[in-house]
Amino acid sequence: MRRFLLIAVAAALAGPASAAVLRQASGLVQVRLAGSDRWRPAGREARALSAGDALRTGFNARAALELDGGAALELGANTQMSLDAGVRGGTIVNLLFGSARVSARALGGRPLEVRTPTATGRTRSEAAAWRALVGGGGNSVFEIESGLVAVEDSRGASLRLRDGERVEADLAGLHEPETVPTPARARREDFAGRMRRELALDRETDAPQRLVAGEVRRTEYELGRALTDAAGLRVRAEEFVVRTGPASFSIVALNGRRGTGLSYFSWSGTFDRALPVNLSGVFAILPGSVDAPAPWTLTSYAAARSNGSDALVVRGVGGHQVDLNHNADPTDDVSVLFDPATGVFAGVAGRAVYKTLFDGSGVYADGVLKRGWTGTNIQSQADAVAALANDPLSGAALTAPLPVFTSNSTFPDAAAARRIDYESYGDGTSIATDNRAVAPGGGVVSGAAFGGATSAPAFQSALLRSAFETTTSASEFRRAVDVMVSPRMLIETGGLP
Amino acid sequence: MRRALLAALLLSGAPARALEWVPIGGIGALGGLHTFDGSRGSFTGNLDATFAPALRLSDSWAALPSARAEFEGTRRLADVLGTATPVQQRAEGRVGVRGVYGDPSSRWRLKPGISYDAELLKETKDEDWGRGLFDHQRLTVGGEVELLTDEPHSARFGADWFKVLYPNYTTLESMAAYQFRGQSLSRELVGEHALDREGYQFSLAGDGALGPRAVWEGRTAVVWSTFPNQRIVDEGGQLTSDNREDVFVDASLALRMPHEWNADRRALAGFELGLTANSSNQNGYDATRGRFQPGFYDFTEWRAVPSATLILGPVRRPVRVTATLGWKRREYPHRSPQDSGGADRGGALVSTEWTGGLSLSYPMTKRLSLAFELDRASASSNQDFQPFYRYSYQATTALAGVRWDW
Repeated sequence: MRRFLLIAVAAALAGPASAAVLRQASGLVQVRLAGSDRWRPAGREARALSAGDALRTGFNARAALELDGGAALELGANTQMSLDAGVRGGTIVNLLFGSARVSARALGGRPLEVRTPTATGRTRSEAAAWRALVGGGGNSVFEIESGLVAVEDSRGASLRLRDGERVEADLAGLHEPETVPTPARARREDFAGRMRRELALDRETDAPQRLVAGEVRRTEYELGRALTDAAGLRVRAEEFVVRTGPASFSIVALNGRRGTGLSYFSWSGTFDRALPVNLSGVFAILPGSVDAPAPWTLTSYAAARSNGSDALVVRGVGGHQVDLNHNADPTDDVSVLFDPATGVFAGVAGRAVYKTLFDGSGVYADGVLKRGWTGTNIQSQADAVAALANDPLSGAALTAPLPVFTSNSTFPDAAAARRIDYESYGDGTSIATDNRAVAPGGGVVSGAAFGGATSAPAFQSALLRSAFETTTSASEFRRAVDVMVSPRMLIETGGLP
Repeated sequence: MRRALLAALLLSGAPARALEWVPIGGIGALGGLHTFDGSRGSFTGNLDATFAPALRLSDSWAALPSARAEFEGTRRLADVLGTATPVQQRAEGRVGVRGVYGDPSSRWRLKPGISYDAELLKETKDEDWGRGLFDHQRLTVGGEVELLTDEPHSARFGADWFKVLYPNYTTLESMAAYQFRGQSLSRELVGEHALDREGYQFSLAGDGALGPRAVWEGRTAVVWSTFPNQRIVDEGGQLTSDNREDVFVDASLALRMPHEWNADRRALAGFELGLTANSSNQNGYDATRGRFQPGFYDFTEWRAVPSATLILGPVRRPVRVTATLGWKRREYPHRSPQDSGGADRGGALVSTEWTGGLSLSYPMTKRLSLAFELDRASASSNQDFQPFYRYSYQATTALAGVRWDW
């Protein structure tokens, strides 16, 4: 009390009349005196504030003022206000942003106004307690705990609020008054608001994982490991190389389908000398070598299509390189050759083209020899002799002579890129291969996309643009062998006529 | 249920006198169409529901258990669209608990958390729920530290350990090794569940005022994944003893600028710049040409998303109309673009996507709103070899429905 008297006397001697006294300050509380631009710490001691002075609070800070006339003003955190002199010795509190609570037991006839950017609140009863809050855009809320308070907007509209009432005001004016939430409800709503924010933050932590999962899936598709077949069913595919020895390797295309398990196409080759670690050079000469013999000669191979229980296997032995464009047989000349390095068919007419011819070859359906040939250092396919009574690879005598066979290719659907290769044997058996270019998402590519091409290399070139499904059935099979494989792999290894 | 929760908390030693709970949640139901390159999907719907009974354990501690379920029948453009599968339905379920500790007088908040998430996908007509190839489950344990800089702005740092399992994804090669034992149909060291991964996620985020008229928001997440069942592919296409490790980064910086003509007509303009990148020690190998492809999994993607929102009507229940325009450019520095037949063109594979979106939220009651969304994407690329994945496409998604929040 003594200190307050001293402050009051000092303030009276020092300058303008005191409008309020800062009683308490916790946290960052600053004062800007009238006429000054500088904010200074308010200090911990009580101090007088005059009209024109301003005060602001920081994060988690509080300030309590005693206004001239006895009213109490409590400022919350992040609040800024200034004082003005009102009429009849009253006080005007300009609340720019933040929150303030006004309580007065007896104003002694001195009016008290709290002005926000969008409205003004005035105590209209001797005892009143109310709050004013200013948010973004100057939007204001007046909440009355007790007493009578008049609120007037910037357009002159006004209303009177009593205990437990609140009103919002913005640039458009006053809203409809509402009932003030009870302290318990206000606390609950505040908690709910904070928890909604936490829920949103919790979701944010999932977002990067969702992106990573998407990338994992995207890459599997880009690599062609998740396919849809012509019937719209899921086919998983993996293609890889297995090094089976220094001079050999296998190319494997595995498929997985629901219900039918694994199926595969594999091609295994053995060469006359050790192969490098990087096989790209070896792949480059698989279809043939132009101008000079390849450094590695394929001496034997086995190409298999299997569903695990049934298999169609083509084997070749005695491989050697022959320049087909300069041998004695003009019918086997090569004018166009697939270049695995560039992925295109290139013209090679008139140039030396070394391809591998085999002195023994057999086609086996579930181990049963269907056809084959033999020869000795053949220089043309025409030199090969069709196998009749002996296995062309082992030389073992067959129990019955091999039947004659015919083959043809048909295009059953002119509107679709589909070709069926059919072999009919004299003993009534057959082998059929149904080749389809598969559209993304399923279905067969339209025939128009192939431009009417029905034979290599135009047909094969068109196949390279699509996923490819080949279904092989044979009389010996219990079920067909259905494989989706890169057509490039078949073209390189001679598996696609 | 409520009684059980209360009992559990009492047993855990929490001060029962301070305990209170507030239900938070929402339900959205939208129906619509997705078109992809002219093929129009059937009319389907999206449904999502969230329930989170927030618990105030004391003045310092709160717990936020939450459960979320989503069904997506109409594909959204934020998905990986190039898969171009004929059907795509997605279902996701997530449960988690997030603790929030903060002394009321302190600016710091500590938020430990644990969550389990399961995502199911049906991409083809023969896939059943729970049997999808890319179904996965994720367990995440970690937490976040938040510093309230200038309410409501803050800075946040998070660290999480995670493990992701793809139960239906077993490599065919490992199956072949078992089924065709004795044949050369698999490589040594091949793993089974090659997509399973585990690792750590670190995040740094924050927002703040940029003067009186703008707010910035920044976010960076780093996901370090190891694939314990996926071996590194070497130059010869064979598997080594090392495992794949990826570092994935997603960062964004956004500027939001609110504007108010009057209390009933406001606007929020925004501009976001983002970067997504992946770096992996895994290589690719093209078995159709015996070609080694180092850095196959690396990419960098930049994006820019300007947006504008018009907010009309009362502050509590405004009508919101949002328009967005998106641009993103992805580059795979170690992949060569190819022509339609697969022939290399040289250079880096690049794809660009433009998106445009329009959304409307129209409040009907205090908690119920009508929602409309229309999004369009147009993607192009120098990669013309697209038999497995579509790099160039046009896609549209249109949705309409209701949203109820409480």
